[in-house]
Amino acid sequence: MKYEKLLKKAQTGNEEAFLKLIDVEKDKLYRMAFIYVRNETDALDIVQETIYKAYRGVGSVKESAYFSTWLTRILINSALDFIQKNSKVVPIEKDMLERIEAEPPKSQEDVLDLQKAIGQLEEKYKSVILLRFYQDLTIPQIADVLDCPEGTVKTNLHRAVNQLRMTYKEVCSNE
Amino acid sequence: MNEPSHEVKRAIEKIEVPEGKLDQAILTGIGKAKDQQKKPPRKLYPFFIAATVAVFLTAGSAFVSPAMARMLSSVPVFDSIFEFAGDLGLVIASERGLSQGIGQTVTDQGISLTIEDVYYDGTRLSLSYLQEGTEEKGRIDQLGELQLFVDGKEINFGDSRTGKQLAETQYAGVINIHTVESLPDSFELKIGVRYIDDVQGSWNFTIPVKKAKEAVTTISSGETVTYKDQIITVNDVKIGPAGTKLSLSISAPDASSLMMVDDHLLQFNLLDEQGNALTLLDAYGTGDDSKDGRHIIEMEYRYEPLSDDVKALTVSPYLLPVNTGAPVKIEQELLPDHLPLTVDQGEMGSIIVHSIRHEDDGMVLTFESDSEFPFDGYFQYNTIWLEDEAGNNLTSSKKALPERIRPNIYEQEFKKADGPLTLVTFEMHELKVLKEYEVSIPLR
Repeated sequence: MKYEKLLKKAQTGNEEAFLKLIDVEKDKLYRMAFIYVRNETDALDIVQETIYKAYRGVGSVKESAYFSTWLTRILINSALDFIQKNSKVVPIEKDMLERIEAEPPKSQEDVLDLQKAIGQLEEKYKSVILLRFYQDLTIPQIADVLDCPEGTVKTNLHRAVNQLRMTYKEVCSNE
Repeated sequence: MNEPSHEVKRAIEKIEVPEGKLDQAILTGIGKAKDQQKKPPRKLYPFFIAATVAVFLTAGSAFVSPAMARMLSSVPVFDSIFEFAGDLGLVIASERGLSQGIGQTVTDQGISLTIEDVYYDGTRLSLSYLQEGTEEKGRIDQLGELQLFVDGKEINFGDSRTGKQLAETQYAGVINIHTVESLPDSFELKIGVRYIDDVQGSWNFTIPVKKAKEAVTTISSGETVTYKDQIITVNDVKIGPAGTKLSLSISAPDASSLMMVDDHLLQFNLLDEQGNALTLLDAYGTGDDSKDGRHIIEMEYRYEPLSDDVKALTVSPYLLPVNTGAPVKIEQELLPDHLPLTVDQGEMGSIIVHSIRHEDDGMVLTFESDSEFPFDGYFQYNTIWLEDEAGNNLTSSKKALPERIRPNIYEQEFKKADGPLTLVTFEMHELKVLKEYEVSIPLR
C-alpha cells in the first residue's frame, strides 16, 4: 500500500497501518535514541514515549512526505525530555570537552570509536549530527525540526564536526 | 573517510537493535495511547472532599486573584458599575434591583467623583463610583484612603477594590468595605476622600444606607476543631442574595504561627452537600488579639451566592504549601483532532482537555479537572493556558480565568491563533485536605 494511503488509514485510527508506517522507521528511531542515552533500556523508553505521542498525534501530519521528519522531531524532543528528567544521563562536561580539544589523540588506542564520540557530544550537537548525516536532512529542514534559525544549525553543525574531529581523527572536514 | 555522512551512518548502523524488545516498546506505546483515548470521563464527585482557595500568595506564578479576574473580565456597558466591575454577588444583587442608586457627584480640583450605587445586606457593604478627571489629573485609579462615619461615628474598617478604566480620564470602581463592628439595619454613611492620585482636595458624601429587602439568613455553628496548635471555631455562615459569608475564629500560640502549620498555610473551602467548592470572592481577617496566652484572628470568607437547593455546607480545612520554589512547567502539544488530551500534573491529578471551539473573536477551551481536590469556580491555585507556535501566551485579556460550567468542567477563553497550539500548565504540589477536621453546617 502506498505511503500516502497508509498515513490516511493510520489517521483514522487504523493500528495496522500505523504499525506499517513505524516499521520503516523503528530501527532508526531506536538508534537515534541510543545515541542520546547510550543504553538499551533508556533508548527503548524513549522510543515507547515517541510512539505514544506519535499515535496520539498522527492526525496532525498533513503529508506523508513529512511523516519521517515529524517522527524524528518527536523522538528528539522525547530524548531531550528524558535526559532532562533523568539526571543520571548528563551531557559531557565542558571542561572535559576543553581537555579533549586541548589534547588531541596521541595514539590509535586513544581514539574513541566514532559512535561513542557522537554519543559524547552535547545534546544540541548530537541532534544536528543525527539529522544532517544520519537522516540526510538539509539545513532548512534541520532548522524546522529543531525550531531554530538556520544560522544556529550551521554553527552547531560546524562545532559538532570540529569536536568529532578532535575525538575521532578520521572524520573529514567537508561537512 | 571523506564523506562524514557515510561514516556517521556506518557508525550508527553498528548499534545493534534489540528487535523483540523494540517491537514490544512500540506496542506498549500504542497501547498506552489507546488507553488514554478510551479513558472514560471521571465519575463526578467520587469523594466528598474539601478544599479552599486563597486570595494572596504565590508570587511569580501564574495565579490570578478573583479581584484581578473581575477587573480583566469587566465589560464596558454602563448599566451598572456593580454589574461590570463587581463580583458575582454584586452582579446578582444589581440584577435583582437590590442595590440603591445614589448618583451623588462632588467636584474638586478638576476631578469629579460620583458615588453611583451602594449595596448593604448585613453581610457586605459595597460602593460603586465613577471618577472623572482632566488630562492632567485623575487619569488613573488612585482614589486615596477613605474616612468613614456611621451615624456620625468614625468606624474602623478595611477595604478591597476593583474597577475598570473607561477612558483616559474616566475610571469606574467598586469598593468593598469590611467593618470590624457590625452595622445597624439602616444608617447614615459619611464618606471623606482627601486625595485622588497626588491631588489633595475634599470629596465628601453623605448617603443613607438601608439593608436590602431580601433577608440574610444567619446559621450559627460554634463548633471548634483543633488541628496541631491551631484552634478553629466556626462562628456562623450568613447566606444572602449577594454572597455567602463564612466567619471563623482561629487561634494559635503566637502571632507568627497563626494559620501556619509546618510551612503550610491553613485554608478553608466551603462545600455544598455534593462536595462542590463554592467560588471564593474575597477573604480578610481582623484582630490578632491575645487571649488566654493565645493569639486570635477573626477571618471572613466571602463566597458566591448559594443556590436555593443547598441543604448543608461543610467547612473544609486544607493545607496550602508555601515556599515551594518555582513551579515546574508542563507543555503538551494540543491537537484538536486528538482530544481528549490528558495532562498529568503529578500528585494533584490531571487536566483533561475535551474540546477547543473556534469563535469569531477567539477560542474556547473546555477542560475537566480530574483531581480529588475540589477546585472552585475559578479553578483557583491551578492554571492552564495556550501558547501559539511562537510561544505567545494566548490568555484572553477579557476573561483571564476559567469559569466552571458544570461540576469539575471549566471553560476558558483564549485569543485567536492559527497554527499549532501548545497547552501549558504546572506540576502541582499537594493541597492536603484535612478531612477529619471538617465541620458540617446543616442549613434547614
